[in-house]
Amino acid sequence: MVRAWERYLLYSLIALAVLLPLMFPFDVWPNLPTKEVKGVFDTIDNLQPGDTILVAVDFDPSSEPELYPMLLAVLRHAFGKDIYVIGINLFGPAGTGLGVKALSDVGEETGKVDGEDYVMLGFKPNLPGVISQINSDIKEMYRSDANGRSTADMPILQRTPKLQGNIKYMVDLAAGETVRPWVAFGSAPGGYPMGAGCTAVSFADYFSFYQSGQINGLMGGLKAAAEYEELIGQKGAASAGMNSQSIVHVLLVLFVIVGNFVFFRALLRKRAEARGRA
Amino acid sequence: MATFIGTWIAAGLTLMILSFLYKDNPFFRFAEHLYVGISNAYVVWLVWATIVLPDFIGRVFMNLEPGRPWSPDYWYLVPGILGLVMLTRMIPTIEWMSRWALAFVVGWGAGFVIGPTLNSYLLAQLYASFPWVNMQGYLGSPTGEYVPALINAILLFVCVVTVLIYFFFSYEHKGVIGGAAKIGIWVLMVAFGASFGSTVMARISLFIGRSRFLVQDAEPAGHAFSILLTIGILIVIIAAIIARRRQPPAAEDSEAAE
Repeated sequence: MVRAWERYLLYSLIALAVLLPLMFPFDVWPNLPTKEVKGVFDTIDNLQPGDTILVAVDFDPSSEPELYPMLLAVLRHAFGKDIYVIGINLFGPAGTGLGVKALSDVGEETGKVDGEDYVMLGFKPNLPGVISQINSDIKEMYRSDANGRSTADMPILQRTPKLQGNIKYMVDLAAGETVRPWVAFGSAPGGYPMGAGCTAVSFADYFSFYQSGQINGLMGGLKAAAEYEELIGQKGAASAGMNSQSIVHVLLVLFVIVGNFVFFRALLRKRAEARGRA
Repeated sequence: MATFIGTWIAAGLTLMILSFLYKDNPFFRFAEHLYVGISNAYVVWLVWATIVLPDFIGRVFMNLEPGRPWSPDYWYLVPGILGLVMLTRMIPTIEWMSRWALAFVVGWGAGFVIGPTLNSYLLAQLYASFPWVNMQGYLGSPTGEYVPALINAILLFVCVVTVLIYFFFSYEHKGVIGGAAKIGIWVLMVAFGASFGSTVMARISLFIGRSRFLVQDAEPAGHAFSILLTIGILIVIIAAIIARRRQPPAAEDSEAAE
């Protein structure tokens, strides 16, 4: 049975372990890039200026701490190489605003123009249907972008009227199950390579797609976002958060060890008492 | 000024939600209801503005882009009407009409989804679990890379087969099948452990995100708020330690053993 004071103590220690590294940042643990994260980075890095990629902002504010830094890092990398970006959100309406903000913020940083160098298409329901349609015609499905502007004469969509044969890479930043339909209805029939970023919870689920080669890179959680920031040489929110993450992990391991030690000590004492009574 | 006020409202609401860690309280419930209400309103507006208006009304009833050639596309009435009959679920006497829309969705979904799903989720995954397929990329690699990859490929194959055997219930789990099923359970346990580890990381990441907002975004200059928060947490820790000392040791041991 967990007593109230124990809960408060554990919560407080975790809170301190998170807050203090954020208040007093330090740089001890490097975020060495893994093969899975490098898969996404290398593919974008090997694209030519003027190529177009699709970035699916398939998450909403509840997954923002993990996936938004990842989105910023991917956009900074792509815009830094003069790659055009089409943003889309097929997860839920609340994700569109995050995509608009990220694209306009990074676009402003790097001097890119909305509608020419990038566009956020926004949300449509029925993921498999939308993916199949935009594989062959984007403007028929999206007559206006997320900001309500007509897509009819938008320069980026004049160059890229459909996904199939036009985009060089697709990255799905997914909070839910969207990677599967993107693989089945987008990447496989459309013939474009695909990478994915997901929350740490989903990482184990999606690893089989990486192992099978259906996606060529996989970024899982805050750690992967920090690795991507390391790769592009621009440390941001993810790198700052990883100090807290590492300390909390150490703390949790200690909690598990101490908890087991206390439990078994009490159990052994109880058994000894029972033997003594017998 | 508006950003300043907005940030502080967000910071206050974050603290109200976190107050649930102490116990359920009116501040938590206020923030929770506010979140649900605002989220729903935002989603309703967004669906209207980005889906219903351009994809239904704008295609059938009126030109939303003045100056451009436009003609109504009456085919869009079909999904429009099917969408509307979904709302009949709220009227018990004509509730049955909503089944038309559901029948359409289920029929379309089954026909459209089965092929690509089988190809991508089953066949491609099955193919990738064979050791010789996994080893194709390592042919001619140095021994240092080849041997670990080979162990990985064999391990993967064994794990897939043993887990499948564990879920094969048409034959009693005895003998070789029983042994394989036991290995399958161990494989599942390892997978659950990995998932749990990732889940812990994800949850902490969410807390880090909120904390970063409180520490860095809510007060770009100075750490007055963060220092107050830290002092508050230290007080809670001291109070928890005092509460522990006041507890009789016998009760502590028996509770721990439970």
